[in-house]
Amino acid sequence: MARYDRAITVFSPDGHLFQVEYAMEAVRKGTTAVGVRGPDHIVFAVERKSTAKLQDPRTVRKIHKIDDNIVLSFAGLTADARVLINRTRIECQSYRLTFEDSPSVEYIAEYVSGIQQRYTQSGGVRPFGISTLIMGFDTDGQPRLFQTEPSGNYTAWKAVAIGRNMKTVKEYLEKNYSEETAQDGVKLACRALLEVVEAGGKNIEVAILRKGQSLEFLTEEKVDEYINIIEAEKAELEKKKKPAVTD
Amino acid sequence: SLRAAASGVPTSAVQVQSMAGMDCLIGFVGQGFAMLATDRNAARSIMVYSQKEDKIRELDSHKMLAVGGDPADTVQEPEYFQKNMALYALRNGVPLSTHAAANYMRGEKSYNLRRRLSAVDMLLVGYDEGVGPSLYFIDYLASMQQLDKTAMGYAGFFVNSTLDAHWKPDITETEGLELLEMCFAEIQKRFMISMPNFIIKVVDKDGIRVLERPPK
Repeated sequence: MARYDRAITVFSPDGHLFQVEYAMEAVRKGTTAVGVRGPDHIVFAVERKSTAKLQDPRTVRKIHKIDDNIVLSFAGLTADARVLINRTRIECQSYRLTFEDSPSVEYIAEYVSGIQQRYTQSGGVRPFGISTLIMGFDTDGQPRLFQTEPSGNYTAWKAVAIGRNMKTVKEYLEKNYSEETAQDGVKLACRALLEVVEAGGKNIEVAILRKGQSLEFLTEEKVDEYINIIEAEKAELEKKKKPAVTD
Repeated sequence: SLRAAASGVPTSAVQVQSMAGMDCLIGFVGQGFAMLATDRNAARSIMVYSQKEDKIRELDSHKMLAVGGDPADTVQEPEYFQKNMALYALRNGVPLSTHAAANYMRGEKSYNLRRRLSAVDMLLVGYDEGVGPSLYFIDYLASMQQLDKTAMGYAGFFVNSTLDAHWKPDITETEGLELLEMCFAEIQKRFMISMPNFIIKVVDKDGIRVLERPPK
């Protein structure tokens, strides 16, 4: 087995590309990122890694504006993400220069995943150790949410999670995503993230992209507000579940 | 940058009759604002294609560029600058200052000049917080100068003296419009080419606006 996981250009006898799978392991170690697509808005809620006391938190961003209408978040190796984000920003402007139009979200997702795939089929390079979440509005006004993986695969989602504990979060989203709950994407995204992250505005970063508006980062206070509402609703639900005490 | 994507331009020595000079570009700074005005003719040889051309490009929320010269270059060059400036703003979270933008454009024009001929004149005008309004003259030879008031093209011959006589450092927007009307009158009286329409744009702390000419 060890012989088939050195160079990524080598398949293993049972059809695995081990380096790609190891890259996905790196993603599973990264902090969680959740994306939720509503009818006219899309939300990213990401786990904020605790910054050291003397560190400037402004430089530890996980949600990045790629273009006026496209936003990217990720889980995995931050430096790898920085490189991909840079190239994607250039591609957006290049597209605009050529076509005098903004690129669709799918175009960008395909572009990012195309780069990631190329790094699984070249000699001497390793795959990017990140999965990305790409959200945005197309020119037809529709919101879109895509996920890319180290393998170079990309898929569209209504709601998704990547990074550590993503299974728990995805299960929660599958159970609780509905047309009704999607109306308030921030609440749903926060509720999902709170399944695996400690409650508190300093542990969660939330950004919302509304149709026709630029990206908005929620302040820590605003996030705390949402968390309080969510905790109150949870308590209500718990109370209803407990059977009434009868003497 | 996008330079790699835009390379591959042939450097043949075909001489095209340069139309540089036919575009009238006027600009000046005032009290908390900067103004640009251009004619609206799009013409070649003896033919007028349109008299509704908008020669003032908005580069971002607080910068605009009046462009004159050879037709296709006047579209390609500013668009290339604008996209690279947008890329800078996305990468760094802040847009370029007007001063930085002017120097960037001058540098690119200088680089291009050593590879091919380009006849594009520009007037860059912008408003920066803490600095106020500024005007930069960048001609087709990539000479750049920050100025209070100027006019490019043949119009310059007629209008620079009017600007010299009537512009003052604390000129207001209303006085600026009056000054422009004096400039337009001079052009329409003395310049051989008919220029019936002009477009005026102003930038201040609140962004860019298109100004209506006062009714006759």
